[in-house]
Amino acid sequence: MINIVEKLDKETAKRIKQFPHPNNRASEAGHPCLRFLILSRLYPEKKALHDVGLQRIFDEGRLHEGAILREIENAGFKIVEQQRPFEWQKFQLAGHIDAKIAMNGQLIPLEVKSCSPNSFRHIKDLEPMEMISSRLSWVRKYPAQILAYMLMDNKEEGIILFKNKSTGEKCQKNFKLDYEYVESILKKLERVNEYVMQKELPEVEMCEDCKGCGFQKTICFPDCDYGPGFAFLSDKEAEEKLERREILKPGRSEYNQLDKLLKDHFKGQNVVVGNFKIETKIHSNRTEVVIEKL
Amino acid sequence: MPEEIKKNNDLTARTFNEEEIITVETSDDLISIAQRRLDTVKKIINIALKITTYRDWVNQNGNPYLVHSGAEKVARLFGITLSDIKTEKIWADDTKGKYYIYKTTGKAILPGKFDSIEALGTCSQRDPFFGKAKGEFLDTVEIDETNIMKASYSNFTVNAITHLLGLRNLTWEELKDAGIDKSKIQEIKYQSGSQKVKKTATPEEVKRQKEIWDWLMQITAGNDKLARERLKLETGFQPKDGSDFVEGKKDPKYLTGKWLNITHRKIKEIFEKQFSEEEVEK
Repeated sequence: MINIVEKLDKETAKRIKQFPHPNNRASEAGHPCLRFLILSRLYPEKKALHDVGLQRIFDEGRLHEGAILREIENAGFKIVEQQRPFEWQKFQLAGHIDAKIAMNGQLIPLEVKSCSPNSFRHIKDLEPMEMISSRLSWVRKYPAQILAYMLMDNKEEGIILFKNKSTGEKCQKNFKLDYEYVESILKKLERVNEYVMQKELPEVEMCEDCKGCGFQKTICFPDCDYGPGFAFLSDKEAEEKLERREILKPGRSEYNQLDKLLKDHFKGQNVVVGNFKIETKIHSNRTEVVIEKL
Repeated sequence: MPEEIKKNNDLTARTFNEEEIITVETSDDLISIAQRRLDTVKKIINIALKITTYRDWVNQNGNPYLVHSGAEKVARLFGITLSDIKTEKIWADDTKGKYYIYKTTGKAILPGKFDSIEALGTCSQRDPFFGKAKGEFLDTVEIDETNIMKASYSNFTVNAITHLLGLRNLTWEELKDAGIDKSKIQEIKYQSGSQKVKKTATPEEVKRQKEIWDWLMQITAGNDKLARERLKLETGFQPKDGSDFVEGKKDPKYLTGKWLNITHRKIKEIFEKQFSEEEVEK
């Protein structure tokens, strides 16, 4: 029999590529690690390629992005400047905005993101700028991205539209320019540009994003702490109890199965079987079957 | 400063920042420490093995080898930290040409900070898994270099953790005692031929390897098979330490260092002798 999945995965794998970029990218501007941003520009070839699983997610994202934009247009909104490139030379910042949407005589920057049901639920409950402290690392980068587009386009407002990939549900987050946050991002980018110009790297600083980072294990080596470890105790009494518990363990599941089977069978009856008395007790909110050895 | 001193039989135990340090006062103490340490080591090995499964091991050329997933499980159990990790790209040559090796070094430390070791991991462009396809070495551009880098890092991690805890040279018996079924463990066999080439030849050694082959071809009148057999005969030897006889090599590319130098001298002598005799006969 042909293996369709295998063939499709091979095709997906062909799309796994790096896209080295001479500038800072708006989509990564919110990344917490300065070293990552510098490495992305100085040594993009040292970034390990992502796997097929992540490529599938990217492919799905692209499919949904097109579908959402069509859906918005079909609903009567005017969408323009799709995938328009932006560049801000002063900060060596560049990006492509998904689209702009016409609203009250203005063109508002629009980003569309598709996400898993869990991420969607999480995002739905957040205020736009609360995303910068989200538990999900990729969500933390969204505000910087849209705010960068807003700045580059000289707009006070921007929108990110999220779609639940499973249910098709949407939620909209409206952003207003947060100057304090934007300034922190631009300052960070200035530091990146200085390091890039000097072709230097800052010291490694561990952060949450280290795990799974494409540069970890190739060119960036944060210390690897496997936690506090386990304490090895000499507690004879506890050890004996644990051994006894282990001996009893196999009987537990069989006991539970038989207990349920018998209680279901004799529910509602009061009987004696051999040496066993089985009684059904009716409480106000439940019925209890009690088995007793005589 | 030590916070507390207490006598435990013949051993003096001091605590420093809540860590117990045992000091030796007599030779009997030394034996007690050695015994205690031996018991601890055995216990460590047994517990470490018990938290792994057959998926955390490979059977490499008949020996059990802990892989990255297993090493990390053990590291979490003992609270190991890896630090000062660095990587370096080194260029080397062999008969197939120039190639690179990644070398990763760093420290592995136990939570008490008293036990730490320096460890090393490597992976080369000639790695059979990443650098070879259909029996041929891949060109540099055909290899994803980041895979070699990551493999070097993984090799360092495994070496660091297993060296620190003494989880080296384990036997199948020890794995069996820990409940690990050998038959379920994935087997990795090295193929014969070029995959066995592990040592790096310098340009000078490559030159000597070629000279050996040229002489052999002349000695055997261009008979490839005979030349190989002759080389095998001339390179086999009985080690001075009485260990097993070392089989000779059929191809000079497998010879490096002292072995190459001795063989070079030997074949040269045979060649010169044979051709000077032929001259005389003429």
